[in-house]
Amino acid sequence: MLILNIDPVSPVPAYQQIIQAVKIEILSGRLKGGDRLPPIRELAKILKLNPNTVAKAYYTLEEGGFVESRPGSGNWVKTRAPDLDSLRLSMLEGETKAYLEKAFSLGASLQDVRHSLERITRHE
Amino acid sequence: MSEIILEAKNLAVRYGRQMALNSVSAAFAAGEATVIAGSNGAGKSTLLRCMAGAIVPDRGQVVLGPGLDKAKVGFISDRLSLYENWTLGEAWRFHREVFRIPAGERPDIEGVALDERRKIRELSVGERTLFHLSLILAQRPAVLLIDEVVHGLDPFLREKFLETVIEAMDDLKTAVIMVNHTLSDTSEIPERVLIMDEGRILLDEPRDALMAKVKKVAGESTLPSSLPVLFETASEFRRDRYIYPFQEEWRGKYELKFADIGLDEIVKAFIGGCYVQKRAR
Repeated sequence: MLILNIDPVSPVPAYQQIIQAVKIEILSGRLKGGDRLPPIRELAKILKLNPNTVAKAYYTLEEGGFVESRPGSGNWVKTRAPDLDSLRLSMLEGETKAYLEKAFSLGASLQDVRHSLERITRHE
Repeated sequence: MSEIILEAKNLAVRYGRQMALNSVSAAFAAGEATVIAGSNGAGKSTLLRCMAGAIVPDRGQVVLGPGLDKAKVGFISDRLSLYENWTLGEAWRFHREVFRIPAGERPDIEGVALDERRKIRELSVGERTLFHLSLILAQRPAVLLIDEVVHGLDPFLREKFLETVIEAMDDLKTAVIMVNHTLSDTSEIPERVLIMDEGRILLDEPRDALMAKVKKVAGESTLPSSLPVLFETASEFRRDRYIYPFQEEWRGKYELKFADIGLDEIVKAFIGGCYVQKRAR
């Protein structure tokens, strides 16, 4: 069961949120090559989006090589998605930047951040 | 994009001394969803009623796309124009005869079953709205005009209403034009935003483009006078300034945090800006 969530109050356009969510599903392995994505109309109904918005997201994913559209049978995850490692890295960097920004705004130093990371990873 | 199916050309409507619409022009394409926002009395509902053919404008005209007639334009407002004493079955038969719809063409609204023997006046506001929607969809409309009905629905019926509209957009490529105050009520269906003020169209932009152009600067920092401030709110504890039109290169140029904001707040800033201008006059 594919779970995609869209935050309607987020300033990030909904189609970009769909693209991001599908990429995360692929990276995490929850979506595999050959899996079928929900039909445009179904996803639009679930997320209360304009069908055009979903179509735009699917089209962008197709252009990026993540998804294959087969006429008449919908959209499928490609068996070999393009370079997942570099995608994983760039998404991780984005998340880390956002995290560091927050940590620094609390007045933490890089040293504090390192210590906190070490403490937490040791306990888990 | 796709073909134009409805075009408002230079519409003017006068109520007494008040210009409700003042040279309003806009064209709408098949499958496109637009939300019309604006202050009270901006002319939103008048524009919708003109496009529905419920008001004849004093000047200008509404032109439908090739092969379309009025039966393909559905109008749904909070005032349901049906006889209160009719049962749902009677209302449906009447509607079918007027618009020559074959029997059995009225779509069910999933999860909402209404007894055909009930009378219109016995329905709740939400049930009326969904019943009205099902009547209109039986016409297989090319355009669906929705006048502020979404906010009056409970969360369950609102979801059903929006899902039904989404299906129509997908099946029939229906263009949806809705008037709404709270944009979060309509979810992310509209991809185009039209803001009206004093009978004119103040702004007509794709949703994403508009969102890229309006940013907020929170706090007391001094703004360079060259930055266009659309609207400002300030109290002892909080100050927000809304920048429009914003340019992405300013992020590197100024030591300011330009925050992205949601559509509801954007619309609020535009309407607020209008009120400030009116007070200044």
